[in-house]
Amino acid sequence: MVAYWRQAGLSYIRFSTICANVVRAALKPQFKTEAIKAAEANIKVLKPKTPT
Amino acid sequence: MGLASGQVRNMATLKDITLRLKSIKNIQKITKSMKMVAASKYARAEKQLKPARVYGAGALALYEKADIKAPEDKTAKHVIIGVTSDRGLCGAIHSNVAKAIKSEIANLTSAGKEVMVINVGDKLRGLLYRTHGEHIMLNCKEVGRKPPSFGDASLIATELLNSGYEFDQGSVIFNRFRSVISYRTEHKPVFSADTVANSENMTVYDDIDADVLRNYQEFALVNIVYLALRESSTSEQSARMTSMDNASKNASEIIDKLTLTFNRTRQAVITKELIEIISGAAAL
Repeated sequence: MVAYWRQAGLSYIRFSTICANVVRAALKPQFKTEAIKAAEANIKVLKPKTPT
Repeated sequence: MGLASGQVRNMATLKDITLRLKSIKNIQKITKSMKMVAASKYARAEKQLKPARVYGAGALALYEKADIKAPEDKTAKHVIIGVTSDRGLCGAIHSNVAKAIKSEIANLTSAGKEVMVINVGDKLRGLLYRTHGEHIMLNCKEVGRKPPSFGDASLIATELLNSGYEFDQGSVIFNRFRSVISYRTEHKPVFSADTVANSENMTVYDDIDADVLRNYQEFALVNIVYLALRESSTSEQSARMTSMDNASKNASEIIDKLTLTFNRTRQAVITKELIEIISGAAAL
């Protein structure tokens, strides 16, 4: 039984990220800022330039 | 008959020694402050490592309990995720992971399997791209500046899954943190959803359909990468702390030796001037 979000083209990773963002947005203000700060991603993924 | 020209080393003048002493004292200040910074970052990283280990242990539990092994197949595709960071001055952290990756690539290619590498950390890219550039699939930057978050691991896992490289199995190679002074380079397995589904022991579990397994696999991948990131960051900070500590100690030793040389040279200069004055006075 395929989940609705899988049919819409989301991966489980994307689905859980969206759920986690919703939970963070629902927190009380003092916990909200800490949670949002703890969760931001600061990695950059690059493809190596293939020498053609 | 030519003179045998031996090397006559000029005794270092007071000015040379003073300059050298000043520069080494500055270096010692810098390494000491780097050690303090690394110590504080290490304390924070270690505190955040304990909950992260729970994530990783949970994800790996299925692989261990169900004893999942990839089928011995000539056409197996492998992926290696090497986790270090962007910054140096932390001892043998980067070279250990690079060595493990190189030997793994050598083993796999000699067995005829295809392998691609994901570099998490700029230092790893620098170490690998010259010799194994054709195996590199993705590079990640801005690792190590801030503590890793689950979002970082999600990004890496998403890029791997979207890259179109249909891997069957793989491993994450990272430095596992053991204590302040010791870390060990280890690898944890990574499997694709198909490999897990076709493994023989999966029939033991009921209520597993392909969709559930696929969801679990994606999430397990993120958890394993997250664990590797956290462990690697803690090991890196502790290694930087030890190496900066050693550097400060070496600098103090050199400072002591140089101070002694400086005093001896100073006394020699004074004695020489005195002798000149006395012999000059005696000549009058």
